Amino acid sequence: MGVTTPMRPATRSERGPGRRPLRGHGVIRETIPNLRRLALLALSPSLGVALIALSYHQSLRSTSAQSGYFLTFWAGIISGAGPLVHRLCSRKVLEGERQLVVAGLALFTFAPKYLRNASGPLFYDERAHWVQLNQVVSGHHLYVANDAVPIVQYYPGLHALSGVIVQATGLSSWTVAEIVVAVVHVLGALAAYMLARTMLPPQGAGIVAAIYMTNAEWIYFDTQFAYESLGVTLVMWVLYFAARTFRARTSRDRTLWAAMVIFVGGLSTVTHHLSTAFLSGILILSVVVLTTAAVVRVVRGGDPHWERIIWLALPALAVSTGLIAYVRLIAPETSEYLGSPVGDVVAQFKSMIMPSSDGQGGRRPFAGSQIPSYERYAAMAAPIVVALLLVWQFVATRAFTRLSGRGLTVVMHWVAVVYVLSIPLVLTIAGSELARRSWAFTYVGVGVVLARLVLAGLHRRAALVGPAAASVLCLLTIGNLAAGQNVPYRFPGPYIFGSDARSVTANMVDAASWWGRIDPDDSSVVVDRYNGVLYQAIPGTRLATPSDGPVLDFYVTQNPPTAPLVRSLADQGFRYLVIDKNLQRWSPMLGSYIAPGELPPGQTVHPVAAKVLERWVNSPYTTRVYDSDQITIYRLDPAYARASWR
Amino acid sequence: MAVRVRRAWVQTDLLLVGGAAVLSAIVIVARVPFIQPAVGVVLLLLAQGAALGLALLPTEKPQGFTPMLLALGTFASAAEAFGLSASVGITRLSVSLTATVVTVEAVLAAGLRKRRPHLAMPCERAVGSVVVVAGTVAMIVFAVVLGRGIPIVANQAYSTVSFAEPIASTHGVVELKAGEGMPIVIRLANRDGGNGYYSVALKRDDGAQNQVTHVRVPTGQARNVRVGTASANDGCLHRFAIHVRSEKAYVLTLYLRASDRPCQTPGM
Repeated sequence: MGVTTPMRPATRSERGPGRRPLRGHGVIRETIPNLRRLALLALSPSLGVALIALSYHQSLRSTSAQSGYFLTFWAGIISGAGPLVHRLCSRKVLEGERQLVVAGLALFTFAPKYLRNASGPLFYDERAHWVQLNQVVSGHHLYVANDAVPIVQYYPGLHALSGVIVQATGLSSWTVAEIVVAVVHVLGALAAYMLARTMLPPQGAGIVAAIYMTNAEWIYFDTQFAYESLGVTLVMWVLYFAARTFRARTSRDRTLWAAMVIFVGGLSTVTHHLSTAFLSGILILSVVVLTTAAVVRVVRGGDPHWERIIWLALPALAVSTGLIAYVRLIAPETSEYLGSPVGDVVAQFKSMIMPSSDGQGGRRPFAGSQIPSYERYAAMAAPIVVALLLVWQFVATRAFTRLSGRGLTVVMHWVAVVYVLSIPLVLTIAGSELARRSWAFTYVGVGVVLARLVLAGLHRRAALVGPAAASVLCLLTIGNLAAGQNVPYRFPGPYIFGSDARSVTANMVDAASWWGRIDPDDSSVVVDRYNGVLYQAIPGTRLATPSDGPVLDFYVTQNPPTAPLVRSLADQGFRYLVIDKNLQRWSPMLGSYIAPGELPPGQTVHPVAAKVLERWVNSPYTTRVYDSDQITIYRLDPAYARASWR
Repeated sequence: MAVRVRRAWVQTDLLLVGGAAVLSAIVIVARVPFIQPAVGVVLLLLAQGAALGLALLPTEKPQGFTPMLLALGTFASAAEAFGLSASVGITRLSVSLTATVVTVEAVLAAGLRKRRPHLAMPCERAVGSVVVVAGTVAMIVFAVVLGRGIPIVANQAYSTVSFAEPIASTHGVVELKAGEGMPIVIRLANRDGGNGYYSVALKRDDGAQNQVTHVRVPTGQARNVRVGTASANDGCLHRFAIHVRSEKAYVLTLYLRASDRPCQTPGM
C-alpha cells in the first residue's frame, strides 16, 4: 500500500470499463458539477456561517451545564465546509477551480474567528498586535516597545504591512487587520496546496489542503491578528519554493527558486521568530533526509542527485544563518523569550516519572475543560489515528526507504513523524505550547502521508475508502479544534474572571474609555492583566509590569508601597491605579494577576481579601477618582506616599 | 495558439502584478511617512514578495484571480496617491481594473475558442469557479452582517455607574448615567488647606435647572453635597457643566455620583 505511486496517469483499467481517456469536451463535461452540487457549493458556506453565528448566540444565552451550542457549531462547520471539501477532493476538477475552492474553504475556516469578535480585538495576543499596529501608524516608527508581549517589538513584518495599508487606504486599523489576516489565511492554504502539488496529483493536493486545514491552530489561532498568522503563511510558501528548488531541472530555475527561498525566508525572519525557527528546522531536516536517501541510492547503485541536494542546502543554510544573525544583532531578547524548552521538557518528564515535592511538571489535558465528551474523545483519538496510519506507512515502506514519490515526499513523511513525536509534549507544561505551535507546520506532512494512503485506497476500494476518509477528516477537524483552543476563546458567553477572551465587561470598557478621555498628560497606569488590555489600547499609555517593581503588592498583599517603587512609578509617569473589585470574588482563571510567572514557586492565585483592596480608599497616596460596580480608579499622589509607609 | 493565449494571460497577469507592485512601492515611498531606510526595504520586500508569490502560481489560473487579489491593497494606494478619497478611489479603481482584466481575458478566450474549440469555452469551464466565487462572496457578506450582532464584551450584569471627575481646575463637564429622581451628589474633599468655603454651580445641558450650592469643607475632610436630582427627559444620560468656586484655584477631588438604584441603560 505504502509503495503505491499515485502520480502516473490513470490506466484504462483504473478508469473503468468502457471509459475513454478524458480529452476535449469530455474534460469540460466531466469537470462541470451538476445543478444540485452547484447549488450546494454556492449556498453551503453562507448556511455554515449562519449556523456558527447561531451557535454563538446560543452560547451567549446558555448556562455552563448546557452544551447544545457545540452541536450547532459543528453543524455549521460540516454543512459549510462539506461541499467545498468534497469538491476539493474530487478527481475531475479543473486546476483553477480547485485553487478557488481552496481559497473559499480557507475563507470559510476564517469565519468562526471573524464572527467571534468582528467588531474589535479580543484575544490577548491579538490586542497586543493591534496596539502595536496603532503605535506604528501613529508614531511612524517600527520597533516600538510593547508592554503586553514585549517580543513583538522586534518582529515588525505584520505591523509594517498592515500599517502601510492603514496609511494608504484610510481604513480603520481593525478593518485592515481583519483583511490582512483573511488574505494571509487564504494564501497559507494555497501554499499548502501548491506545496502538495509538487508531490501529488491535483486530487491528492486537494486532500492535503483539506487535511492541513484541520490542524489545531488553523481556525482560531492562526486567524487572529498576530505575527504568527503571517509567519505560518510565509513558511508554507518557503517550503513550496524549496520543493520547486529541489525539483528544478535547469540551473536558472534552481537559482530563481533558491533566491525565493532566501528572500521569503528573510521576510519570515523579520515577521515571526518561532515560524522561522520551525522553517529552519524543516529545511535542515529536508537536507538530512535527502542526503540519507541519496546515500542509500548510492549503495543501491542509483544516482544520488547531489546537485539538487546542494541547491536545497544552500538556501536552507542562508535562512538559518539569517535567523541566527537577526536574533543575535537585532532581537537578542528572543532567546530569553523562547527560553530553553528542551531542557524544561526533559526536566518535567523526569518529574512526572519521579514526582517531586512541589508536584510541578505534568499537566492533565482537558483538566477542567467545558468541552463535551465527544470533542474530548475526538481530540484524543485524532493523533492516535494519525500515528497508527503513519506507523502503517512506516512499516509498509521499510522506514520510508521504499517510498516512491516526487520532490519532498520522503521529507514530508519525516515531518509527519515529528508531529507524532510532538504529541507526548502536551503532557508537560513547558512542552504543550511548543507542541501546539509546531502543528501548524508539521500537519502539512501529516496531510501528505494521509493523502497518499487515501489515493492508494481510492484506486482499490473507492466505495470503502471514500466514506472512511471522510470520517477521518471529520474526526481530525473536531478533535484538533477541540485540542487547539479552550471554550472561552471559541465561544462568547458568561463573564469569566481572569480569562483572556471573556473577562471584558461593559463596566471595564466604560472605565477605560472614561480614563482615556480625562487622562491629563499621557500618564500610565498600574493595572491587572485583564483590564490592562483596554488601557494599553489608548495611545501613549504604558502598563506597569513586575519589572517596574513589586507592583503586585498593590493587589494581593498588605505591604505598603516602598519608597523606591513610588519613586520609580512617579518617574515613569504611572499616575493611576486601577482596581477590579472582582479580585475579591474569584481567582483569575489563567493563574496570574498581572503577568505569568509573577508569583513565587509554589504560590497560586486566590481571591484577594476585601481589606487589601479597600485600603486604598483611605490612603493618602491614592485619591479615588472613578468608581463603579466593578472598577475603581485611583490617582497616585507620590507626595503623600510617605504617610502610608510603615 | 492555445499556448500563445495562455502565455498572453500569464503575461497580462504578470504585467498587472508587476505594475501593481511597482505602483505600491512608489506610493509607499511617496505617501507613507514612516520610511526609515530599513523599514522601507522591509515594506518593499513584503510587497514584491507577495506579488511574485502570486505571479508564480501555475499558469492556468481563474481569470483575473491574481490581479483581483492585489487590487484592493495596491490600487487603494494609487487612489490615495492621486488624491482621490480612499473609499471612492478604492471602489472605482478596483472595479475598473477587474473589469479590464476580465474583458481582456474574455477577448483572448474568445479568440482561442474560435481556433481551438475543445480547449476554450471559458464560460462553460468557469461555471464551477463562478459558483465558488459567488458562494464565497455571499458568505463574506453574510459573515460581515452577522458578525455585527455578536458582542465581544462578556454579558455580565451591568448596573449604575458612579462617576467621579478628577479635575485639576475648578470646572469641567461630566456625563452621568442616572435614573429619574436619583439624587446627584458631589463629594468635595479639601486636602490642600484654605478656608474651605466652596460654591458649586451645576448647570444642566437641557437648561432646565441651574443650582448653586454653598458648602464648607474643612481642611482634611470631605463632604457629600446634594446638588439636584436627575430628570427623565433624556433617559439615563445627563451632562452637567460644573463650576466650583473656592478660595484656592483648584479642588483636588470632585466626586459626582448618582444613587445606587439601577439605571436602565440601553445597549449595554
